[in-house]
Amino acid sequence: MKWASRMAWAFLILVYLVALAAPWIAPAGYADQFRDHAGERPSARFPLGVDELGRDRLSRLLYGTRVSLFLAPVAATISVGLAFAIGLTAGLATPFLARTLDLVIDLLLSLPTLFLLLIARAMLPLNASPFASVLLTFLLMGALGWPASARVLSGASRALRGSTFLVQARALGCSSAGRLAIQILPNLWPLVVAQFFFLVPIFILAEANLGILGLGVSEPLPSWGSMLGELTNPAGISRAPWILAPAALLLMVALSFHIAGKQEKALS
Amino acid sequence: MWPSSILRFLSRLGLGLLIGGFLTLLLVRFAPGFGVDERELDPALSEATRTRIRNQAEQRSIWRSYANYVEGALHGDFGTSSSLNTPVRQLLADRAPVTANAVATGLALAWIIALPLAALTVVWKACEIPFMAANVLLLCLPAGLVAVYFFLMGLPSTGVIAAGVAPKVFIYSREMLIASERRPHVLGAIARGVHPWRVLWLHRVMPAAPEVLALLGVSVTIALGTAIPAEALCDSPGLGQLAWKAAVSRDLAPLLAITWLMTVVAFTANAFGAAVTSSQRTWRE
Repeated sequence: MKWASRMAWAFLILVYLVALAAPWIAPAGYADQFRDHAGERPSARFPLGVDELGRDRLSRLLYGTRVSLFLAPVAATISVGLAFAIGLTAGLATPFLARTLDLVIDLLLSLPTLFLLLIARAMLPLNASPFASVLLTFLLMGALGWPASARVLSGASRALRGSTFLVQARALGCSSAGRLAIQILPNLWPLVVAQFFFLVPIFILAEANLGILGLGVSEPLPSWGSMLGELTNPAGISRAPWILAPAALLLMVALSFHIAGKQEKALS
Repeated sequence: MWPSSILRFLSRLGLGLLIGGFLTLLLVRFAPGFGVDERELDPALSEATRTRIRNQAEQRSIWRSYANYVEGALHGDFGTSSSLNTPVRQLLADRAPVTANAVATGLALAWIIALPLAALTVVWKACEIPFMAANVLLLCLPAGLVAVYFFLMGLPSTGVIAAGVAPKVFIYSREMLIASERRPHVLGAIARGVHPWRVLWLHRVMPAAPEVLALLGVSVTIALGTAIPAEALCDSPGLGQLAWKAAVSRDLAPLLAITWLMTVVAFTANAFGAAVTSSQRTWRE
């Protein structure tokens, strides 16, 4: 499956490059309105057509890709950071602290995260700027998404704690900090990377779900989720199937992250 | 043995509810929108009135709010929905059966489809690639998009829940079955010429059953999460739709009550899954 992983990486790099270059390659700004062309079909000037508010869909897709692709990894970094700190502590701490942290992880794993996200999202001020709303949405995802990864990392660090090479290092007089830096962290690192790749598509999909429900990124800032909101109009899809373009791109990116993550998991 | 297990479960449930409720209130209290009353946006109000409204909201102690809410909830009073102008208790009573039915049917469908398919891919390698590809595709689709498709096709919301749960059950149970492939008793049975389906059922599925059943609790949590887009977009009048409507209209009371209810259900399911796993292990030993 190496070829699949290579293709996934190549596709992700390409999408990131295109997203980075959005201000230069997008035919128009994401909020620019062409009111005379509202609801127009795809043409040479507007390759993905124009939405009901007269905005070029291709430009919005390019800028929306920036939002989803750059903020989901930020949220995943926050989650993995928290999971690493808590999982490592749970795995290496005294039995009482480890049990307490395990209990907290179990409790948080049982909480329906999407409901908490809905609550927090609903409480955003009505006059919040679009950028603040998108940033807070992803930060919240990052703050709430760590328990599953923490459980994996605590299990792995517990397994490492009982490993023979660690006992040997201890017997040879290696300090706690030394064992952590030389023996434990390098062994956990591949798992941390795999968790990062596992979380990125989850956050992209969560933002898409919020967007479809109308609770994602505020207008006029685009994201894949907010663009997918157009799909909730049943007549729209049969009349204008090109509005499925964000869904296709989202699927391909999530798939690429999934394949890349599988490769990282296999390596770990 | 039993009383201590029940006591442990109840204490975990109580702790979970308290943490869940407090986390919810904490999110609300520190959300940037807290204290930004819609009345403040009224241009007819003077700056002094706006400041008074803001101060009133900010001075409410989170501990006192939480204690008041818990006290009310213990008496069955979850407040009144400001957007629907109906007691939350009545809303829950009306809508909970719809969600319970959808989640139960969706879960049953997911397990009935995913488990045999997982077993099939382990025994019959030719179907591994198409089933795995379909599974990964489902994993990469947002539940909202699946719900839109189901709505357009005129299919019920239970299908969306099944489509959300099935890929996870499939992948997890398949991993369990593959892990059992190289165990000595499985290799021994194959060497003795036992029929592949018999090996699968007696030596691989049955021993892996406790681990697979542990997924039951997790699948309930996934199903509850999927119920929101499923019901909101398929126009099914359940708790998921109520949560969505409440979120859109910034109506906190129903959201808080639904989160609590969902936490109770998820906790009970997880505890049930853990109990089944542990009893199976004990019985086997």
